Amino acid sequence: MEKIKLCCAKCGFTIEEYTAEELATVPRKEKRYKYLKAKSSICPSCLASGRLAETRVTVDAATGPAPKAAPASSVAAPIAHEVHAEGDTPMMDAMSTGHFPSHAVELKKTRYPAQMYEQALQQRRTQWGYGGYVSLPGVASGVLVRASARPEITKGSNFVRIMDPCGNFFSTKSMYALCDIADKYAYGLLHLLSTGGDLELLGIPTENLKPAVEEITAIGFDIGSTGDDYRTSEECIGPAKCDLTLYDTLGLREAWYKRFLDDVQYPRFPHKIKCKFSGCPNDCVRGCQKADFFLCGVYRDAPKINQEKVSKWVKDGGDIATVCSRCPGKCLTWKNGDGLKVDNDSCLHCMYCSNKVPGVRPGDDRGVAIMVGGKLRGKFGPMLSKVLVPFMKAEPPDYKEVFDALERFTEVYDANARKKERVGDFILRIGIDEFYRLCGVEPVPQMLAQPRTNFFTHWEPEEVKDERRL
Amino acid sequence: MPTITLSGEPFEVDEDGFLKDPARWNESVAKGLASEEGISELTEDHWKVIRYLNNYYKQFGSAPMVRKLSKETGFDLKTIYKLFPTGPAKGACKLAGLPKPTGCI
Repeated sequence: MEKIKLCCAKCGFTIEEYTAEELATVPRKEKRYKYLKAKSSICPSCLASGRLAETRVTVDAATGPAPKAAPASSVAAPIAHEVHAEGDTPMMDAMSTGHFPSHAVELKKTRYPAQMYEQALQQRRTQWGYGGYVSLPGVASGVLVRASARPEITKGSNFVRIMDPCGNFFSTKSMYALCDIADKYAYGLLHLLSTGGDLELLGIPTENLKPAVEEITAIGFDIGSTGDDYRTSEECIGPAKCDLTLYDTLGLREAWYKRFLDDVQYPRFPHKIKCKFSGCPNDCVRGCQKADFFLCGVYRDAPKINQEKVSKWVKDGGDIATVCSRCPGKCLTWKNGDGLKVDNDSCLHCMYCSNKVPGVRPGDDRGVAIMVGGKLRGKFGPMLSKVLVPFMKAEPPDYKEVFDALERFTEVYDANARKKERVGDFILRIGIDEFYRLCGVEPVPQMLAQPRTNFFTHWEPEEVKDERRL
Repeated sequence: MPTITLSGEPFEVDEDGFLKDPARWNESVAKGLASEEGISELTEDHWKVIRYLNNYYKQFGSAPMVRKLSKETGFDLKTIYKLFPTGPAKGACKLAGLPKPTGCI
C-alpha cells in the first residue's frame, strides 16, 4: 500500500496523509490534495510558509490500522475513551505550585490531554486546530468540535453546550448528575461557565455523542446555542441577590426561554443573536457592549430619597459633597438641615447616587428599555448598542408586550439582513432611520446617540401619559 | 464516482450521497433514499416539503432559504427537523434530488 504524505518542506511536519487508493476513489480527498499542493501554506509546527513537499512511502498492508471490529452490542460494550499520548509536563508542574488554585492541577486530574497544554506552553502557541459544528441526527444545535493540530497527541475533541438555568443556579443534585455524565462519556471535566454563559462538557468521542446527549436531556437539561440562532442569554442576578434591580430579570429570562426555546435550538437567522437582560442601568452583564438585543431595566420618575438614612450616612462620615459634585446630571444638592434634594428635570437616571448613597433608591415608575446592535466582532468591528424603545412596561408572568416587540424586531432582521450579518452591521448598512421605519418605531428625543446619557433623559408629564409609543 | 442502485437503476451520487443529476429525480428515488436518512415512512408532510424543494429548484436553480421554506410550507423549523432528522440541508434536499446546498438552507 502506498501512502502519500504532504509535509512541511522545512521541518517535515505531516500536514495531510492519504493512501493512493483514497486519492483514486474519493473525489473530495483528491480535490483537497490538489488544492494543498498548489497553494502556499503555513506550517502549524514551525510557522514556515511555502509550498508543501510530497513524500511517498510504501507500507505493508499488515502494518496499517486494523479494520474496525463491529460493535457487538451497544448496551454491554464499554464506553470508549480516547487514549492520549503521555509524557513529562515540567511547565504544567511549575504552574501547579503556589497558593492560588491552579488550572494545571485541575486539568491533570482529568482525562484532558495534558500534553496538548504542555506543548502549547513550550511552543508558546496553542496546539488546537480549527473548530466547527457537528451534525447529529435529530439535534439541530449544541454539539461542537475542536480539531487538533497535533494528531499524534490527540485526535481532537467534541463538546456539547448545555444551557444553564436562570441565574446560573445549579442544585447539587443536578450537578452530581452532570458530573456523572462527564465522568462516563467525556474527559471528566466541566467547563463552568464558558464565555457565552453556557456549561460545556469537553472531550466526548463521536460514538458517545448520542447517548451523552440523551442522558443530558433525561436529567432535565437541554443542549443548544450554537449556529445562527438565539445564543444562551445572560442576565444579572437580579432580585435573587440585588436590591437595585428594576425588574425581575430571572423571571423574564425564564419566560424568554419558554417562548423562544425553539429559536435557541433550531438555527434559522442570518447570524447569531445574543440577548442579555440587565436589571438596571449599571449594566453588570455588559449587555450594551455585547448583546444584539439588550433589555435594560430603567425608571423615569425621580429617585426616592430616605432623608433619615442619608443624614445618618453623612453623620457617619459619608462624603456627600463629592457625590453631589460628581453627579453626571449635576442635579443633587445637599444642605444641612434641608437634606438631599434632586432636580428631576436634569436627572439622567444613571444610578450614580443609588450606588453611592444608601438612602437613595430608584423611583417607582419602572420598565424596560430595548437596545439593539451591540457587538464586539462582526464585519465592522465593535459597536455600542442604540436605543430602540426607551421605555416599556415589563409585566409578568409572560412579558407579552416586551417579547412581541422583540419578535417583531428579530423578524425585521431575519427578513432584511444578509447572510452572516450581525444586527449592528445590518443597522449600519441600512441606516438607523430605515431600521426604525422597518420596525415601526417612532423616533423620540429619549433615544439619543450615547447609551449612558441616552434613555435616562427626563420625560415630560404628557409623554408619560402616552404610555404606548409603539 | 460512487453510484447507488435504487429500484434496479444505478444513480451517480457525490461523496455525501446527493444525486449528481437532479433531472433524473423521481418519487421512487426519494423513497429509496429515505431509509438512508433514518426516515421509516414518507408521509404527506414529507412530500409537501420534498415537492416544494424540488419545484423551487426547477424554477430558480438553487435551494431556498430556511425562512422561505418554513414560510411556504407552513412548517416551523422544529417540525422540519422532526420530519427530517438530519435537517433541511442534509436530509430534505437529498430526498428532493437537489445538489448539495452551499449554505443557504
